[in-house]
Amino acid sequence: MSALRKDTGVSAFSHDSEDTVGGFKSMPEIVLSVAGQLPFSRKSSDVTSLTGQEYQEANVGQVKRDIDLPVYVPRSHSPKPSVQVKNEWEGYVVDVGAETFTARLVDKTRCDEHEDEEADFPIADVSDDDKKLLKPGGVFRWIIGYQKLPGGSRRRFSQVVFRQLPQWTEKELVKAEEEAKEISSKIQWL
Amino acid sequence: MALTAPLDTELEVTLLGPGLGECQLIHLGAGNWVVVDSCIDSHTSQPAAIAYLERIGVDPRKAVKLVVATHWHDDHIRGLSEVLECCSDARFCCSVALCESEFVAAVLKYEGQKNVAGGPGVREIRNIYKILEERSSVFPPIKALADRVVYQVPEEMSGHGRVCRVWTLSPSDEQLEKFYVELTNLMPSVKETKRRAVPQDPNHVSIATLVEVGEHSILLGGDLEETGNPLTGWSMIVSSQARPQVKSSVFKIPHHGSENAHCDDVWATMLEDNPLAILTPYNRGVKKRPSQDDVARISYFTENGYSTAQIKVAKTKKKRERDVEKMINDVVGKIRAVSVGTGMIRLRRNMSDLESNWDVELFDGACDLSKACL
Repeated sequence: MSALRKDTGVSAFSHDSEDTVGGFKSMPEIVLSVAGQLPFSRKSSDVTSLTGQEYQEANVGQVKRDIDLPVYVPRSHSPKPSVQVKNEWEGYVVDVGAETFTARLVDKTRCDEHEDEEADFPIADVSDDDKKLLKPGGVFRWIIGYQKLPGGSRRRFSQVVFRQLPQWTEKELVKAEEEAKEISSKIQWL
Repeated sequence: MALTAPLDTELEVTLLGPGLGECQLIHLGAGNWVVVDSCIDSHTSQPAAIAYLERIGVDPRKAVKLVVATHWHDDHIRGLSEVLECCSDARFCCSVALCESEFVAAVLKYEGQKNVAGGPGVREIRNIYKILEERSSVFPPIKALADRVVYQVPEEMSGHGRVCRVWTLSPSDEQLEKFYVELTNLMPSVKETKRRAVPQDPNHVSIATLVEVGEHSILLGGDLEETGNPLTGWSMIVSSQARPQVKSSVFKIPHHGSENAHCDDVWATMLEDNPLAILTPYNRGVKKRPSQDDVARISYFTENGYSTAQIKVAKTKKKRERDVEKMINDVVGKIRAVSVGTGMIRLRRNMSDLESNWDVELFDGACDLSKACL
């Protein structure tokens, strides 16, 4: 199963497998493809294919065979590059300081609806491309989880990705101004 | 302490907060209530004003006669549309700046975004406009300006034989000009990336309110700041000859005790000696208010300072897996809860007894100001 979410730049949700981390059942794996910020990219498959010749050369001292058959050797550790998201928030910036910015957070992992939490993020964690979006009102996703490295080891990662929201159009702004005039005309102020 | 409704002859000032902001209720006498600003009660998730009135057995639909929005910051406006909706006999009063079609247009531009919520402040204002559209022919809303009476209870209806008047002391024309400049910064333009609306300091158009009850008065500072400019902020109010030249015995300290809202002349000319000074702390963000210095400054002017809560980092109550907590800690330190427990300061004074003074009651974590900073 997969889905594409343009707003966060997070693509290709995969619900094909689950993992267990630290004794907890993990969330579904996802593969990130945020431009310029990838923890990795998907490049190889779970199964590596070797020719018979290659297999023979890799097994010096073993009994040589005349026939040249393909041999499939499953890897003990999957090199598949992926990350396992442990928690995800939507945030919006309320204040930008010299080294940190403060944001209100909605915990999407818990399916919360209200921004009832707040935290201070290092500005250094924001990519150069996203810095132009770092201003009060800017909306972002914050994802933390584990990144699987080739060879099977893992490391923790955190990623702040600002949403590339659409732009206001003239039509939208004109519509709002017309509606505002209509509302103002209906309210009789003293 | 029992939570009962005040006597008809009792004047009451109740300050609730922080929860998600602050709210003041004033009982003028004979069941006439005024609500200034709104916050969400952390215990009931209701607007704190409604929760309080119901708790003391008062029907807000009939009792509340005026709802004042001092300004549109999130921490003063949460739940205000619900308060107005519930208080069906109440008039609404807000800064003249928020009545202009330019501001209405800004609200609609943010609230109308399909891809992102405009923000709670914008949502509240949009809902208030909807209510006013239906109600304004019966209860026309009132524009708050400097030195304007926005509500009055005649002496025969006050329960204690004194005329009650609610004055707005700001904004001034100069403050409005500054706000319109800021509004152009807030106003989105074509091809600008959409975002949420976040109102910024300074609070030029916040309303300061004076409640006059016979010879007594109460000064509610909203979030109005001091600029040093005689045409704006507290300096403008102090120098005004059009406001009642009275000294108040109760002061709701503006802007959570912040130094940028302090004005020596307010204490010297608009307040009695050693007045009751009450505030809600601002527990969020990097700048917590009041600071130790703020507390020391306020304590220099009065020994009767109170806070609805202690100033502390509000830890989130959400439980997460241990490794998630560790990762959070590595990146941002602790996640804070935006809402902390709502405390309450209640002041009552029996107006039928000339010798009486204010009774101070503290509820749900409210404390002496000297104990507010841990």
